[in-house]
Amino acid sequence: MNEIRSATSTPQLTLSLEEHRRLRKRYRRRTTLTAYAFLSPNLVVFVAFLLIPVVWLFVSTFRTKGVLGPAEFVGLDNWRDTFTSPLVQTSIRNTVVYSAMAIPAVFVIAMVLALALNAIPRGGAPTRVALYVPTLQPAVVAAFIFTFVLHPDFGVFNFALRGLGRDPINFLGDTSLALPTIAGIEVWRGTGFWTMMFLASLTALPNELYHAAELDGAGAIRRFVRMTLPLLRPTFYFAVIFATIVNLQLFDSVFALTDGGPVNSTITVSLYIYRSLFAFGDIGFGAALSFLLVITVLLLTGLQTFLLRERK
Amino acid sequence: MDSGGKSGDEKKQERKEREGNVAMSASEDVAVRLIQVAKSYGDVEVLQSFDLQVREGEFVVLLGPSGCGKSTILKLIAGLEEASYGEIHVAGELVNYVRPRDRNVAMVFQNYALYPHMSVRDNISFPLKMTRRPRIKRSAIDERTAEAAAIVNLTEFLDRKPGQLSGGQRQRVALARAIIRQPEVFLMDEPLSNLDALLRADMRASLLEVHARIQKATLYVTHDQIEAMTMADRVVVIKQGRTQQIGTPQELYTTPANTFVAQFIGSPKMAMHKTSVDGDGTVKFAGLSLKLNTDIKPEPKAAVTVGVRPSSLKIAAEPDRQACFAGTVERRDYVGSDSYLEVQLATGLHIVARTAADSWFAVGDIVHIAAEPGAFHLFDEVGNRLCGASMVMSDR
Repeated sequence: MNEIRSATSTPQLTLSLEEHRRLRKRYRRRTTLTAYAFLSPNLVVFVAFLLIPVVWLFVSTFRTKGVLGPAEFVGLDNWRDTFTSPLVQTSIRNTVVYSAMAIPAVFVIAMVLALALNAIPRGGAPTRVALYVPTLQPAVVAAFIFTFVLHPDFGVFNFALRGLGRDPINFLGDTSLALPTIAGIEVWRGTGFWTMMFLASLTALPNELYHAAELDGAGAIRRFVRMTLPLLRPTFYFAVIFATIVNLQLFDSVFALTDGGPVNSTITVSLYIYRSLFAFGDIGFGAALSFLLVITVLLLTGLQTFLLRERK
Repeated sequence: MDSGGKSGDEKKQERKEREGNVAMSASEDVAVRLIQVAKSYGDVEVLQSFDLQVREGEFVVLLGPSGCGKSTILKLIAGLEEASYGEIHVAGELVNYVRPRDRNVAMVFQNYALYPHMSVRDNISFPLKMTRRPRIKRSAIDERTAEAAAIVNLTEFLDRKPGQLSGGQRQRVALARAIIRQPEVFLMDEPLSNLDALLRADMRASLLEVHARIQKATLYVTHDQIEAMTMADRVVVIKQGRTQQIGTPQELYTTPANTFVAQFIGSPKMAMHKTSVDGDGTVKFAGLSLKLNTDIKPEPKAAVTVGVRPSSLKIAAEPDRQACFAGTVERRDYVGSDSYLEVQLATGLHIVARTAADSWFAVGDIVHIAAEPGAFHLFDEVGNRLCGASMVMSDR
């Protein structure tokens, strides 16, 4: 018996399409319900601690007072203040300038270190530990450490400068130096994290590609530009977005080192939000500013997603 | 929606009986039955209206090029993927809407999928430990583990970790893990692809030995035609999600259903030549006139393809038969037991023919090729088999 013939006489389904639809629906409902059962605790936390506060915060942007007295509806006043206040503009400018300094610097340093560590055949572990220690420091501890390094009177660095017969530099008291100094300290803290991130991605890259590229005549720099950088694209994609989100919310270093000074030269959006909400008790204005920050972060990450998306 | 006042349980029972009756009446000893099964991912159709019956104890190989949908079939039967259309029956029961763990099928994967942190013993016994309702007793688990390990000759390795085993041993652990469940069906997804050629031949023999002992329906996916031809009771040749032919290895080799099967089965592959039917009903091939040996008469001038297997051709230094064509040796492939010569015929057609390994033919020699009667296969314009054709005369 030729099987081709038997295959062409198509056997019929044993159940009607209607019955199949019903059974499939029931089967899927069961699996979906299981999925929702597992998701529900997370969903509860999300609604209670994120969704409801955010909605409440949004409503607050149209009100004033509300801490010691009853809240009053003020329409778009808070939003208008947010866009016209010179201090808001300063804080936004500071935040952007800080990010533009800190993010590229930490990426370049971390990449160079990761490439160097990746090239070391052995003995990399102590170096990796040494590099990662700063990342483990809380911002307050880092601030404390750097106070002893940079203080104009008793900081180690200025002590050395004086020993060389030079004038001490007031890193955190000079309006043009304070923000770059904070950026430097944050770079010091972040280098370990990003080095490990890039190193992990580098070690995961397939060796064969590099062997092939070497045989094809690509030198070390060309291999880096033509192989490593494109292959690390997914890592960069994550790194840029993550670093942007974190750095736009810079707060703790500034709070511990300068508290926004001198002359508001280091005030950031997060710090200004904190002051509005907790120092001045201006909940409506602080809420509007918070929203502005969230929207800015969303827009920037959206733009980065668009620019860095994988081209098919 | 429902008629009458029957309770939910009664209706469920009734439906189950109906489903069961239909399935069982259609096939008493059928272990797996696929009816019009289709699978698509978005717009991409990977499987189109696929029908298959595997009898109990039968070893069926799904053979096809990479990406033809053969692994998808296994995943559909196992329940790891959901069919877009059609029905899947295992042991007479419709399993489309049954969870993978309840389908009573076992699967062996290409990369073994062993749990690296568990010993061989724990790997093998894992499916039994996971069985609930009824829970299996410790002593019974130990007994069955020892039994399964003995079937695949792993008794002395039970306390090792998978990392301490060779590739062949690891695949035997995977096999034992499948055996221990005593499933209705074994699904094997290219289980030997990660092994070297020598080990693969050994494992083929071991697998068949195990199959002969446990006599369970087995669906085996491979793209290696040697595996398919040596192991299968029946082979299903698949291309782009469609069945090309189902048959015994011999049927596929001697009567391929179309040009795809003809060229996919057999190495070196069948030589193909496009030509047309003459007014007298004969077909020209490399200067020979071939007369069809069946009653089927293709239309005169109809486009056809003639195929001939290298193994049906014999090479001689002198023309010693009537049905013979001459050509120049272009390449010589020595394979140990034989040599294959690629010969360019006067008509420009390239043809491969087998000769003895120690034959003296060299590149550039003029040789004569004789064909066995019935060596030629004839396919219609779209590539479907028309019939066998036998030669009656040479024009030269």
